[in-house]
Amino acid sequence: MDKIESVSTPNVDVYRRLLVKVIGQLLLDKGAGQCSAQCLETLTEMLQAFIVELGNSSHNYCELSGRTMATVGDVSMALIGMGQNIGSLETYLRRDPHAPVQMPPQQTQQRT
Amino acid sequence: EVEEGPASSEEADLDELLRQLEDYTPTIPDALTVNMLKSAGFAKVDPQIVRLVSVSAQKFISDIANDALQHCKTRTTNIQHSSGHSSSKDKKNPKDRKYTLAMEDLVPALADHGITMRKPQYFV
Repeated sequence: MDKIESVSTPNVDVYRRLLVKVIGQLLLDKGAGQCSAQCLETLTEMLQAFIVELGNSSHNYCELSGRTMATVGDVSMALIGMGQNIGSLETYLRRDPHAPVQMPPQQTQQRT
Repeated sequence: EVEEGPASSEEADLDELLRQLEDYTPTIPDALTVNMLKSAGFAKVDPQIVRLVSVSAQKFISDIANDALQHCKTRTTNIQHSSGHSSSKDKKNPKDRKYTLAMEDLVPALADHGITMRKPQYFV
């Protein structure tokens, strides 16, 4: 009975929960041991908004040039449009230590 | 005639960055970024693009978190100094301290990045 309940638990927003985990990991890497719930939610929302906006913007640049598959150039144009400095990314790669977040293991649903 | 190789130093920098990104594992899992990009209208996503998006998003949040943490450290130090006699327990391990990030640190950090944040009217 317990097994059935654990499978039927609503697991809809997995990606959102993963985003929360990513934010937590980033904060831990920076040295913040704790974080208020409102703060965590704000940062999660910002991360999600950033990725979606970057994707939308890149897709728009891609379609504007008559293509269907986005290229690195489209993404860099979108980044510039969003006010991000691409040159500082290389420094960031070399400087900041970080721990990657693993994807949760795939769960196979058993139907009885 | 078609020119071979990168046309400018900026393109060379971008090529170098993409080469480095191949060996780099971002904090944000690739599958998560791919899913979000697909929701933005991408049919098939180039792995280089996934990495570029992940790293730039990671840097964006990381910079803000760094600023917020600096505010947090300053605030905590100020409170300690204003309270006068700080206990010897706090003095013992200033590096091992774990900071608690609060909204009052995040709001000025976001303001530095040009993002204004206000609580909703109904939020008590």
